Amino acid sequence: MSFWKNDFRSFAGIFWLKIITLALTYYFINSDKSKEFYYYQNLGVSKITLWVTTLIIDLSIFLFLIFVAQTLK
Amino acid sequence: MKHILEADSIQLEFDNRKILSDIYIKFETGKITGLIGRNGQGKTCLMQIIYGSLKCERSIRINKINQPKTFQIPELLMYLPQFNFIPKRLSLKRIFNDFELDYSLFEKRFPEFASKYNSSINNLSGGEHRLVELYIIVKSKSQFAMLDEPFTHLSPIQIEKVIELLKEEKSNKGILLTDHMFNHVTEICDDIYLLVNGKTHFIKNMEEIEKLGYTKLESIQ
Repeated sequence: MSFWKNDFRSFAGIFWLKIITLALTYYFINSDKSKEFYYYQNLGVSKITLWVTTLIIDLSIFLFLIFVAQTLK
Repeated sequence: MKHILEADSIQLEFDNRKILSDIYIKFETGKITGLIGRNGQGKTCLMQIIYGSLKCERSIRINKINQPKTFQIPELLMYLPQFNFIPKRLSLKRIFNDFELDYSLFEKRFPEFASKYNSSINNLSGGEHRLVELYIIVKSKSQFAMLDEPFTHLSPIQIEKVIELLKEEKSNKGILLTDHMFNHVTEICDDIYLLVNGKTHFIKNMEEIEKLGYTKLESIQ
């Protein structure tokens, strides 16, 4: 309950910061590492699969750490 | 078993300029097919379209069956791009494991790799790097392989060995390759297509190559 009252604004700020850094990561990886996608495509792993898996794991770790921080507070 | 890959009905435009418009190309098990053409004619684009990484109107058929997403099925088609594509941090051990290839056979064919099993690909020379990329694409289990400039960065001895490898491997898969090393292309290819002004021309004799303006035959003899 106290989370929604007191900490939601800071969570929202951190969350949007996370979304922005993910978008930047997506942009720079796609432009700097685009050639390496052929390695995974030749193994049958598509770009979409790579990105969806990576982003889900990354966001899950982020949310888990937020939860742990909130619990330990 | 013999497999045939055919590509046609390809329309590719950049900034209202037609790059590819009248294409028919076929490659099949037991043959090495060459795709030649001057710079900027769209050879790489054509390979990327067949592979599926460049989207446009197209028809790709394998054994007469339409295959819209060839790049998602490595058992059907593998592609060696003209640039280095293996992530630099990977070791040869990891690469050969990923592609389920036997390193000892590679080592036997190319003894210079004898002590490099645990090396990262980044520590290899340009020629060695290209050789690893070429080998994994050619030796992996797929029905077809497309090789974009496979001889780039290779030394004459390495090229000889690669030609031997391709000649052996063509009994297992259909190979399409493009390269500017015309002598090597004509040496190993069973069929040759010349790409001029967005159209493919099947070459029946060498004089046609000169007639279509790709090269002067006297300069390469």
